[in-house]
Amino acid sequence: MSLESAKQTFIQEAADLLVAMEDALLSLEESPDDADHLHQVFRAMHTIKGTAGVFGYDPVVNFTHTVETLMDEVRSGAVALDSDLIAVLFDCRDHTAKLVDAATDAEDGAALDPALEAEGDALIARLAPRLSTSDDAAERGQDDAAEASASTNGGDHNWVISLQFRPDALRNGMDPLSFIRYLQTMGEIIAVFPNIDTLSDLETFDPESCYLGFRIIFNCETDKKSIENVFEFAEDDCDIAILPPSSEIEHYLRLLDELSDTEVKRTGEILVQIGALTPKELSRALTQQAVEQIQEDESDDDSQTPDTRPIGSILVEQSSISEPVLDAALRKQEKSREKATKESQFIRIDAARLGHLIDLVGELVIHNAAMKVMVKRHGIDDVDEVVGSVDHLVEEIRDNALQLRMVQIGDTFSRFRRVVRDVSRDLDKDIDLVINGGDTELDKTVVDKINDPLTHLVRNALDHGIERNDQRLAKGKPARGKVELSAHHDSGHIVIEIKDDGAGLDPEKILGKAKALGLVRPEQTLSRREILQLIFEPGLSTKDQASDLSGRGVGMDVVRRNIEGLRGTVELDSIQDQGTTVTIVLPLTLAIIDGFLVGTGTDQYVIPLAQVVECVEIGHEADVERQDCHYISLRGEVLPYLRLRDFFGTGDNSRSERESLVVVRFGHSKAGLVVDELYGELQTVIKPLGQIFERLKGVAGATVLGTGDIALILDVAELTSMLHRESSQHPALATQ
Amino acid sequence: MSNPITQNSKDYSTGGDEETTQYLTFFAADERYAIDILDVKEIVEIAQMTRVPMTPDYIRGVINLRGSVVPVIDLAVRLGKEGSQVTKRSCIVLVEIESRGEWQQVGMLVDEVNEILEIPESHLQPAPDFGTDIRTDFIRAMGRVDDIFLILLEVGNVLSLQELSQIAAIAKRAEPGRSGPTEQIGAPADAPDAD
Amino acid sequence: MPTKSADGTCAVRLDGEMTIYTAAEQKTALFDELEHCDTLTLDLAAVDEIDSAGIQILLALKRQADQTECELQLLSPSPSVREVMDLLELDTYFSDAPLESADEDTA
Repeated sequence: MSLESAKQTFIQEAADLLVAMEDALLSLEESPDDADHLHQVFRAMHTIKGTAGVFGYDPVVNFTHTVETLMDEVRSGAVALDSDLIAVLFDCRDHTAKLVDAATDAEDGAALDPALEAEGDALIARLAPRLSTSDDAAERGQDDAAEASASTNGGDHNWVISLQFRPDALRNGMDPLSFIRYLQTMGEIIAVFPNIDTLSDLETFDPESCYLGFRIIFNCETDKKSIENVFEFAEDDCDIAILPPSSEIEHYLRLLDELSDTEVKRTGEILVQIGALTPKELSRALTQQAVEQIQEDESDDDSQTPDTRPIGSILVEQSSISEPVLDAALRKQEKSREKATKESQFIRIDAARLGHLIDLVGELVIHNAAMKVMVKRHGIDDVDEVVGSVDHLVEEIRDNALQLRMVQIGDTFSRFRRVVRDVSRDLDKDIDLVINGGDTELDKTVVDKINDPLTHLVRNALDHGIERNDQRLAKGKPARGKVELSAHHDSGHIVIEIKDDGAGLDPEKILGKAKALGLVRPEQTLSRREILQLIFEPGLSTKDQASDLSGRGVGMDVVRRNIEGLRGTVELDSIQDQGTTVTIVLPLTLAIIDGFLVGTGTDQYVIPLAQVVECVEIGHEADVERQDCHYISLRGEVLPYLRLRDFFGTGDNSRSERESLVVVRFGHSKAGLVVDELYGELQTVIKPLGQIFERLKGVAGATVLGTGDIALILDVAELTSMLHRESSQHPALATQ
Repeated sequence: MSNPITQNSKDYSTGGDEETTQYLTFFAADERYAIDILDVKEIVEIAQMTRVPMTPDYIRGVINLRGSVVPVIDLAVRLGKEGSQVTKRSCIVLVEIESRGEWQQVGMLVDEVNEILEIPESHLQPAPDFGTDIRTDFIRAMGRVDDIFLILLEVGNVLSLQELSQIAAIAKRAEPGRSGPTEQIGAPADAPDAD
Repeated sequence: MPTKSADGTCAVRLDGEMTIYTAAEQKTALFDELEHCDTLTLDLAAVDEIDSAGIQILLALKRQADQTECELQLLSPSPSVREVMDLLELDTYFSDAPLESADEDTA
């Protein structure tokens, strides 16, 4: 367990717990008595406090402790949970998130940002009147590492401290005597036993090396950590073992018993959590374990089972803990483990590792394609079968690997419950959030990037969309507004809708502003739909009066740019006084898709297979009839089309005799793409084209073919909507 | 400043401990240019290049560099000269450009890669305000080595992704002949963005 | 500094400091002395400073004396030696050395 990875686990765990806490608080607003949700809040604070304690993040420990204490009283019914208290708890949750961020970002020993500290103090002050018990009782806690050793319930407090200084201690300027003198200031030294067994023989006795060791019986009401701190400077020059008084051992056993067994922890972690072990002692034992492992590996290379000693036995040997405590901890661990095997159906995987796997699968796909090209070129017939099955396996591996990274969009949607709650309070509006299709899956990398645009759109709906209660009533609408988030799949894409039943947009106002900004020429006539899309132009969506909610200088143009950066599209529809719907369409993944390879002249292009409806050869199909240079009729259905050769230009002037029509679909719109060659399906690993080409329309990315050549991937959404935008201006006909 | 690539470098420093910098020199459109060797990531031979449609002439296309898709800029065209003819000596100089917090590799097509020169600071002069036929912000400095003059390029400006992508968007619309049926697409949605 | 009597008793009076700075020198001198006598008495009255290195020499000397069946006697500890002896409760360790007799020197 490296410290860094443990820290990452803590950060992730804290984030998850805080999300759970937020959800629980939202539910508690509806039903304040729900025991499960109360426990959820308590557990979040409790667990964060415990783990933060392991890392010595004192500000986190102290703050969460207060909240936890309060929640404990709420659970027991001593304190009533009302909406005011819930509001404070929301703030406490946010504050905890900040503290965790600050603690995990900060250098060791860095002081807490005073602003943050003040914020925490203010929150605690708001909680204080609610706490029924005195501070003293709160300090005591019941099951916490920080106060583990602070118990003052009589008993004996005789610690046994074993010190063995290392040879260089004196040369390094340490004087072991000074530590013992310092101990005197903290408590009473009952007895000192010098250890001279380590004094070397006369021949080798080096008067400047240190051979001294002491065993000290020390009476002091303190905790293990404080004693360890005395020897902090000597850490490198001294082996230290601190054995707790027997009263402490009982205390540890009690703590172990009370420890929640919802998570499987390492033995060391458990002991540190209850305060029986300090993090330093643990890391020393872990080092020892690692050293033994290495020695073992070196000594017998052919050993069948390189068994490392359990950490517990090293700890006992180092006198860091006593055996009864270790045994109890091991029993606890076993219990948690049993419980965990029952519960855990999931494995948490580092996103970077998963990303690496998917990259590798992408390379596999490309090389597999290259291999197929070679096999074909050299005409090796008898490997066909193997090539076929490898190909099939690669496809399965690809699908499975991508599936691993698919997550439900529901979690992203749920976060908006808090946004809706907070914003509607601030604005004094009553707004419901309705979520549909939360189980719709899409690639984690896409989900991560839609959060910002979604936030912006939801805030827009809350802020500008939904009217004030009195306005709504005046319009004959229910006072309570509604914002709806929904998602569903459609031909390799996910469709996300943000819908509100608010005031809607006034096309006249948009058009007026667009003309004022010079985005539209005065004589230009635009359809209602076109006018509404103008809202995504820079400068248009910024309100006259800046709001602190959505008017942060970013407008809908940023939303569109973000979405297009994900190869998606965004559209807005609005009916005045009835509401606004923003529809976002995104590819399910940015990694690997099934593609269809076509050619014009010497160029090759990939069309995402999910968007291909059918392919027909133009020369041979009687059904296909070119209407003019913009429309083609396929079995009576009129489609706008474009010839890729004309649209993109080609390197050569040859004209294919046998052009083909690829019918593509995006949403409800179909369009035709006329190409020279149809090469067939291929697994397409999407490679980004980079910033230079980000404004290039009609091309969504690139892929590497089996030959090593690059083919560009067509942006069907862009091409289709472009053709339809054009057709709506064309007088001949209007398509759906 | 030292660099591992010294074996074939000539030391023109005046001796002493004056600051010198190593530059990779190359030809483009019959003119000698140089860039800071620290900006150079790799020099690769011309491979199969894929044309990207609807882009200005100085974008030659994209190449497959060990699985990554890397854009290639025709340096001569970018500097306002005639386009390069690809010969046996043509090379692609790969540099890494930072933009919006991300690093991206970009290739520069040049006619011939020359040598690595070590040039002391004292041999550098600021770019003249006029008299050169390329944009002054493309020039970091003018260098003199023996009697050869060369232009030290400001790679960040020559290959500014921000600017290249900007012009890529505009260039497309300026070529009506190529855009076929799209030429009458309504202006609104495609109006040039302000940023 | 040593004085040797006929009955094999060496008496050594130490002065100044017994610290890491003097340890190497004192060690050599004291162990040499121990080799040549049956009883070694150390007068510590003039030791104005003692640290862990000094204590360590006394402990090592004591052990060596025990092993070679010599007698080590510590005499009249100065206040600073006294403080350390008390801190580490070393009187018991040097128990066969009549430390109590030290007081008569100061008296």
